[in-house]
Amino acid sequence: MATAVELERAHGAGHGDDHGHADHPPTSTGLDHRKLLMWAFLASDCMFFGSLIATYMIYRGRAEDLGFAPFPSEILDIPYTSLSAFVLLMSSLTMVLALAAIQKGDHRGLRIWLAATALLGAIFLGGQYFEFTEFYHEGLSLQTNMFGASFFVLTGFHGAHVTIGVIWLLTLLFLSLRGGVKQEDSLDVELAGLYWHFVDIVWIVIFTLVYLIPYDEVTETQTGAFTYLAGILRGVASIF
Amino acid sequence: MASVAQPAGHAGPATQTVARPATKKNIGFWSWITTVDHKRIGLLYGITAFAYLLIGGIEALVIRSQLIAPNNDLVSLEKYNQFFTMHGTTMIFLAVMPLSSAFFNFIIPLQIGARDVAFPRLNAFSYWVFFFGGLILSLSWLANAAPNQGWYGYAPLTEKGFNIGRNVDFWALGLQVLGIASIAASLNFIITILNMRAPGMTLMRMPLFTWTTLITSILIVMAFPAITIALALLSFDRFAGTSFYIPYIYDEATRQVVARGGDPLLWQHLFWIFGHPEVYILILPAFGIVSEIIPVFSRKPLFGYAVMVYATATIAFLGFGVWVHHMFTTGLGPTPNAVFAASTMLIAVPTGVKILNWTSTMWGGQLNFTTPMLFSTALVSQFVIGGISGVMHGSPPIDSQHNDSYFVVAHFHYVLFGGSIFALLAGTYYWFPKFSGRMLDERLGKWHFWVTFAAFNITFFPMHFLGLEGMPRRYGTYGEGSGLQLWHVVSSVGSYLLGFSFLIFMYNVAVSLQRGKKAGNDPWDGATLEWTIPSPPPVYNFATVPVVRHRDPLWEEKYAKYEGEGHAEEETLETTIAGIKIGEGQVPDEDALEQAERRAAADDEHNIHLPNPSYWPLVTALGVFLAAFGLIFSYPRIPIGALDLPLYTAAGLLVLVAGVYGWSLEPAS
Amino acid sequence: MAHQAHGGSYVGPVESQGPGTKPGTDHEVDNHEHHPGARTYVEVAVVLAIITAVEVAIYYIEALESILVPLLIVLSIAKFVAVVGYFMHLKFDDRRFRFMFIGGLVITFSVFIGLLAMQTFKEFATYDIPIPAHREGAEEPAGH
Ligand code: HEM
Ligand SMILES: [Cu+2]
Repeated sequence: MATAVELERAHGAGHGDDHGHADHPPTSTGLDHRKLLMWAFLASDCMFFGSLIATYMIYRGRAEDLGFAPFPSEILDIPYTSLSAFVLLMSSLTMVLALAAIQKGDHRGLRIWLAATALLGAIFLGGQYFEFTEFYHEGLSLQTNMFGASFFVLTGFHGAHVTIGVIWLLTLLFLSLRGGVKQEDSLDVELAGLYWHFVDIVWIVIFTLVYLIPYDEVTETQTGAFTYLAGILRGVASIF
Repeated sequence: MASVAQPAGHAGPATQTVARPATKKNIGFWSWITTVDHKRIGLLYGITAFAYLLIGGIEALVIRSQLIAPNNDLVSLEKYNQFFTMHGTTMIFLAVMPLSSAFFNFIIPLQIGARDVAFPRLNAFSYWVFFFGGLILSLSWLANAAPNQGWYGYAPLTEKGFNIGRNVDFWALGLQVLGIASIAASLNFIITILNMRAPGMTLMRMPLFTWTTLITSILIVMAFPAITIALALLSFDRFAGTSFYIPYIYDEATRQVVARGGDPLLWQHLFWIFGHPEVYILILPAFGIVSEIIPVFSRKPLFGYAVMVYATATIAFLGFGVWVHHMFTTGLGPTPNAVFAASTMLIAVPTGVKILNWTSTMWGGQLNFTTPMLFSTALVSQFVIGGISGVMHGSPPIDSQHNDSYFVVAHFHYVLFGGSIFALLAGTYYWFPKFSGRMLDERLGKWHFWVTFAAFNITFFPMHFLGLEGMPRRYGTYGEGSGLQLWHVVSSVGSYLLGFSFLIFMYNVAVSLQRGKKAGNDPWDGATLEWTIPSPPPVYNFATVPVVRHRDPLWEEKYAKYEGEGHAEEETLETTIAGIKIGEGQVPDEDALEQAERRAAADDEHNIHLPNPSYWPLVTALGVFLAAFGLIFSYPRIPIGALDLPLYTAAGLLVLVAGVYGWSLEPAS
Repeated sequence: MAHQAHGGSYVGPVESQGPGTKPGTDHEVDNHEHHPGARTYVEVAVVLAIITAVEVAIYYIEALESILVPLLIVLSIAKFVAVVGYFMHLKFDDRRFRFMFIGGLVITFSVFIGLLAMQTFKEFATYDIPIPAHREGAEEPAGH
């Protein structure tokens, strides 16, 4: 029997009768299909947000270069956004608590923490809505300058991800209230959680690159680092 | 077709019951619409993609006919732009990629000993989204607004200022939808291959086609998001008045040039960050197919299996680091050019390794030049020509001569036609018996091969000369005394012959479907698992799940002489690349395999679970289609709160949401 | 009972079927051994909150101006790693998940760092934007 278990780990030759969970998918890797799917999707989503963030970084400072106000340094509200970032960060905590609850079979806990996560997500979205309208009133739109365009598109795509996440969480909450999320179904919650945390880490990156790094220095710092890099590359190239 | 009832005894040693016996209900029209069977989806992909291959071919013939004479006016220059754009887009996204998908779908589960893919409904969804994406692109002809900016869509030609019609919108949204299909399908295949292998099939025992499918899928998943964003930014430029790719505009009111701050180079970067991996997405499945065929018809296991796997992985990984070789002439400067020239040269090394392995497989083998083998060996020789011209313009000074000339056109047709299409044809001849139960006619097949081979070279080889003599790409005309006409005529005549070769092929298919020789399980004396089951396979594929003890499981079963080979192979089951362990350490334990085998045999008494057919993938895909369609035909509009949505988009989003909910609440089987 | 009891041959789709990880399977046993509990999660969240507070604080401290950018980047990487490692369980989960996600990150980073380097540090001015009149005499756009 021991060999069978080993084989099952390494090559997924199915479960021995001692487990008796016929509907648990025996897989070659021993990893669940859906969880593997979610991680592969998240790897792909890295590239998605990578492209968006790189676009933002390329155009960072262009509004200042061309003198097209409003500039980010005048308009970004750091205390306000810090609060939003904090809210989203805490929603990651409530999310993981929801998962811990259902893994222990605590349905009440699951519902409370799911509701809390969805609520925090909704607060974040509300905050983003007010931020967008505020900027709009101060004269920043998609068309105003490169800052407007790249800012709204980047944070807008992130907001869309959050919106999908909130809908997903509410659906789980609804299903749980109808008794549809059992302890064995904890993977359903785990998958929503992985997605949710991913959206959170994207915001961690955005918060730093878009909001915190000051706009007057950035071009210098960026150029400084890359001058150094380019020097190395030149050196390597000169060997040929 | 594939699900037509098979006598149960036919399928395997033991009798067994099937959950859903094939009845009339299972073979009608609606059963194809709602099917989640990977074999049927594979056939749907194949048929649709072949139709697009013909459409793309006709577009190519129009291009060649225009160029047969100087100052020709068969089509207007505006129409000519549409023809070459649609030709490229169709061939890449609607013909070669989905033809590869057809093989993934049909063959992969059979090769790994599985009864379906990991997510059957997601698979159906991928097909339908692909279908609708193709529809969007095709509808552009009806709207008299076919895309006209080239398959690479360089900004700012795609911007409203230069391209006021809907042409670019059809293209951008069509590709966006096709991207969803590709990513969904690839995620599915990654999970299927990793998770659904038969007991004993370790990673380093997977057939090479399975390996290249896995790696191609990873490439798709990682490369497509870049073009998704590139296209999204383009659509924002066109619909929302941003200027991501617009450096400056001319302001009518003040009669001044006004800076906008965008950068057209960003498009090129994002496009080629996707685009170079894309060319490997087009060629790696082809490499996988010939790596299956050459060993079978050389009667020898593949030479250097492990090296082949690493070469594929290396090509894929390096493929993300060479994109700037498409941009050597954009003035990025000497450092980027030098770095990317070096990486481009580097990537030719694993590619050359593959050529070496194929020729070494054939070396000393008992060669049997059937049609699939002919096409495979043709790939090896023709791809070398394309690879060498690729390495030539991998050098920036040379590329400044080649860039935007017909020489590049020659290059990529040698790799795409001489590579991908030859391999897909080889694969069709090789696996047709498995799809249909009948062999394709060999005599017609040989005719088909030789005509194709000759016509291909007559059409594309002269393009090298044309390019070096100064014929630019994408031009719909050339001057009387330019001295270019001779080779244009040769090339055009070749293209007609090439068109004719496809008629031979279609005739062969039509005749063989009716009267072809019955194939039986294993017509080629193959080495892999798909040849252990009936042709066409029953719905459930494997009556008894196979247990794998060798890299060429069927050969091992048939010929004990390969046993020696088997012991040598086990050493390569695991290796370390850059500190990361690849492969699975231990060789599967024989006792455990026997146990798995006994369990599989005992299993026959029980029902085999098959996924239920479902409408929801189609509904969800329809939602995607409507949403994209609404962005192209943006009227009528309905205001919802602050949003002012096009009617079709709003409806599409509703259908999409309904589809997703219906899908996830429906029991899977 | 175990009528699907063979490895790669699992026949039904698992989409929305629900029964993913079940208690009692090997997989789950592993989880119970290593997975942190609610207490750890709260601790991590407190650390994350503190880092965020520090980030915002140093943004306002003039003395740190010269090292602000690297500092911010290091802090956000710390947050990133904490969320991925603890909340997404990547630190405790199967190494193949780690391989997948980190592989995605590595490709993304290498590609876009390369792109940013080329765009920031153009050796060759590829466009020549007329500077609007009210900025006449302003310094050259950086990065050229
Ligand atoms: C040995 C490997 C290869 C090398 C070194 C290579 C190199 C290149 C280079 C440098 C270019 C840019 C030429 C220019 O526009 O000036 C190019 C273009 C192209 N290559 Fe390759 N290539 C290789 C293999 C392939 C393969 C396998 C495919 C597809 C199956 C492919 C498809 C293309 C296409 C479609 C273009 C034209 C893109 C356009 O529309 O501008 N290449 N190749
Ligand atoms: Cu390339």
